[in-house]
Amino acid sequence: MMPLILWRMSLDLVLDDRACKRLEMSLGLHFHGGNALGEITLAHRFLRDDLSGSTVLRLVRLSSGLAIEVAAFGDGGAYPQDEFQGLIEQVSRELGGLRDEPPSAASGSESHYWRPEKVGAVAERIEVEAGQVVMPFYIMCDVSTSMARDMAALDGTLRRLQREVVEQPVVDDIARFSVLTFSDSAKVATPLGHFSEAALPSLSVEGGTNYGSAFRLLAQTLDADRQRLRSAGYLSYRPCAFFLTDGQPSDRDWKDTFRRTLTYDRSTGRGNRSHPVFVPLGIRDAPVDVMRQLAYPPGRSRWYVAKGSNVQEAIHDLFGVITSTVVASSQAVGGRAALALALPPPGSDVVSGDSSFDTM
Amino acid sequence: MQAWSDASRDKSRNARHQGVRGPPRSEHLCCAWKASAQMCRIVRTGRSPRPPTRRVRVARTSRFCILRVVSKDAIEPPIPDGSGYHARSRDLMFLGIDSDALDRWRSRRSPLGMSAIQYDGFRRALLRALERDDLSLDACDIRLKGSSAEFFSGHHKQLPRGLDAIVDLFRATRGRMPESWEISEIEHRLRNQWITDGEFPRRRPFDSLYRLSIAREQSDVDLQIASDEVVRRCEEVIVERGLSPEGARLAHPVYDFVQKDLIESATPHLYLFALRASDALNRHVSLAIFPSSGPRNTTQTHGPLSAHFRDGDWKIVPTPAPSETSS
Repeated sequence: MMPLILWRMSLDLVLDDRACKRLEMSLGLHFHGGNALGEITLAHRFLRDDLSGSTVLRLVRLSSGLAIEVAAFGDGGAYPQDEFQGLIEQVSRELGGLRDEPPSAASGSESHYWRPEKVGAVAERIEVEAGQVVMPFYIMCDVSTSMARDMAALDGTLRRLQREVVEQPVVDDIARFSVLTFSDSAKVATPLGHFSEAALPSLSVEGGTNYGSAFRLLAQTLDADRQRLRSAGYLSYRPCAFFLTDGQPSDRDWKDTFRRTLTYDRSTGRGNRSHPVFVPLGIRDAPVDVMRQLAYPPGRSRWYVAKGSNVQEAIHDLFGVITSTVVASSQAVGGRAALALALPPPGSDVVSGDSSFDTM
Repeated sequence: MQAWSDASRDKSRNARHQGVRGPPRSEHLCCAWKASAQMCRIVRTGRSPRPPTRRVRVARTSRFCILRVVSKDAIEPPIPDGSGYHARSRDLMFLGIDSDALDRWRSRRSPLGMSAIQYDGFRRALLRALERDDLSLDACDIRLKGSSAEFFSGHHKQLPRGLDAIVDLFRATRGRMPESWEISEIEHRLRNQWITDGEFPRRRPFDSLYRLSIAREQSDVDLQIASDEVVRRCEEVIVERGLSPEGARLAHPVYDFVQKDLIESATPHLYLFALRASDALNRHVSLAIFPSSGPRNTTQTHGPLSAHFRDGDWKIVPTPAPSETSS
């Protein structure tokens, strides 16, 4: 019964006793006291609590700061949608009110000196700060028939990635995710956005392994997302696309399609100038030489192939690479670093290497 | 070492079963005794004359002995705070602990802050949570720690005396500077309602910060759970995330208990039990997880702060039982 975070909002809040009192009164939170060592849950309120599951509104201390969230245990996620929306609005309104509160209502200006300037909650997410930096990640999943037995593992691993991202507000704030699936054709399963706000569909098996359809759709999606982010006032890092496949391409012209849609030739000015960092991840029958050629651009990208016979472990290991890359890259954004591709997990069957794109 | 005058020892024997002795009295004497009794220097610190009957107790510290004249309102059997101070009836009065609650606490029928009925419900709920988390009771050693079990908090939590200490503690606890009237109120409660004779306990008694209005919340209930199985599950949570369960990822770098954010994933019913119990008791129930061997013995480095297993720890038997035993 792992808890599932249904909703979370980062807080920039001075949690003094007056803020506690107000949240206690307005949201019914029970505060746990300031002396408990190492506590993560600082306050809570059961929204639902019965034998089948529990839903808890709680104030938590994370490594990145405070957050308020709704956590579901058991089938506690089955919380009525309209009540849930009402709750979120109430919480957002109340925390917005705290932001507007004068530093010390009781004492006037007498005690202003001690209180930090950063007072109140920031209900980000909706309000885009001008020039906010985001890092888009695209996860492309092969759903061809050869993946039939491993679809559940892929589905589960994808959800675990989502959970891990959501549990780290700093990562969730900066990273944007989109999930694409491909077989004979390709489609966008989850549009680009916060993982914490994304509803991942259940992946299902389709047809063959047409790389070209996936490359074309990715290029179109990248273009549309870039324009959307720009018009919303975001600054975007170069996107990173993880391409997970278990087989050989069924289309003969995949090389040309790749070169045309997802690479850029500086000398001729041909191709896609806004190309992503393309990271191929191969399992089962995915040929290493193809994976080498798909790692783009050379010097910035790498290829990864899981050589073990256990496909579920291979998927797990490769998603470990994705998770580590996402976390390291998102946390490095403040320090001006960009994409930081992770090395294969120690002890795993994953091998990795530099790109051979130039020899294509 | 404890030395009692014969007369007071007899009186003490006669009165031991009474629990609290006599009305609150503010006066007392204390002596610092270096090397020998002949060098004893008596320092009078009380404001009123010495009471006609008194008992003398000697507590040995590392460098010298302290001779203390125990005031008439001392509680029997004594509840020492380790510095030579023994809890007095005025403390109980200020803290809102009646003689029944004290009796229950002494006989381990309920910790401070809980009635016997609440404690019974608390244990039953704890048992259900462990069962629902698929944890064998044999695999868990559960102990009640902190001031609800021991009357006084740990040695590192000293009762503030002066203005600076009060303000520092208020800021740490409430996250803001106190208003001047709030400081006055705390000082009034401390010096006029509670410690009227200048004899302070060194460690904080149960609920004392709440009663002084320094803390908003009452003292919490500290549960220490030692179980290799729970630790193993916490490690699994880390491993599932593709990380190695080493160092600070698993254990708190300072307090050495398993990082508390792992508990809700490893033992979700135990986590929910703590939240429910906090609601029911209106005081926080804190969980600290350790390996089956218990917290490391850090007496060498941390002295009395070490949280290792001790004889006399309050072991909780989650099944309903008439009373609990020392380990």
